[in-house]
Amino acid sequence: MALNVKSLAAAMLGAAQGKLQEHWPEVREYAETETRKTADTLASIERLLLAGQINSKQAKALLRMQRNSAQSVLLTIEGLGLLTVESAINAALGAVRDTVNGAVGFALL
Amino acid sequence: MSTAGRWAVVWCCASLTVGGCAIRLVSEYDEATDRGVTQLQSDVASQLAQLKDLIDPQTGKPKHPDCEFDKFSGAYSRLAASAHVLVVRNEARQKNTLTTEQLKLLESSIGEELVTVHRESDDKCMNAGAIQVVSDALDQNFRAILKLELAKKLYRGEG
Repeated sequence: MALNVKSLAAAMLGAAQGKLQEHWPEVREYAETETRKTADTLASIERLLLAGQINSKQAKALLRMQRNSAQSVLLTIEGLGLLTVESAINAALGAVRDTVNGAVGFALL
Repeated sequence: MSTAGRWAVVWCCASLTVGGCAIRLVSEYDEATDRGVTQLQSDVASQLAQLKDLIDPQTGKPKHPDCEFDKFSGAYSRLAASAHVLVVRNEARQKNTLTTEQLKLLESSIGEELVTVHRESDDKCMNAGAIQVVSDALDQNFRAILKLELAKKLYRGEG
């Protein structure tokens, strides 16, 4: 049986888009929340330094600590992006599994 | 389907993964890491709560000498060691660069930056403001690690 490329592509695209739309709002909300928290912490460090409650060595260490956390958040966002792409690809493959397996005559997908 | 077409599909599939076509771009969920990070978060929170308890509610000043760095340096070393154990475990996992990097950042925040904030204080004690900033920053790091680890399960419909 000849595979219909156009209908395969449409099925794969539809399945992939579903996964992207399912996960993206959560990633965006997480990024927005953590960005606000990072800004709050940076403002607190400045406030403590200006009030003389911490010295410059402490302020620098706190900034490095916050930088580490912000970097960790970005790594999570990167990971969530990869997981979203992964689930979109797997959904796309899953959407055409029966058709392709039937066409090649064995369980390829 | 032509023979060339079949082989193209076979090659495409085999290049994605061996045995089935569920591809993996990041590591699998690891329960030991999940539990280890949660335990470490609890230990850090407990240590910071101990520091907060040493703030005199009347004056807002830390109580000497119990608040001094020397009283906490051993605990910080143990917390950093726990973070290092998690780093080593995660370095051994495949496709796990992101989580490993996160844990290295956490190890640095605990083993170097937290120690510096406490040790370099003018009176060797952390005040309430500094404790709060440390707590917020470390919580964000813990949350990021756990968010990604749990997503490895949830995004794959395993959770």
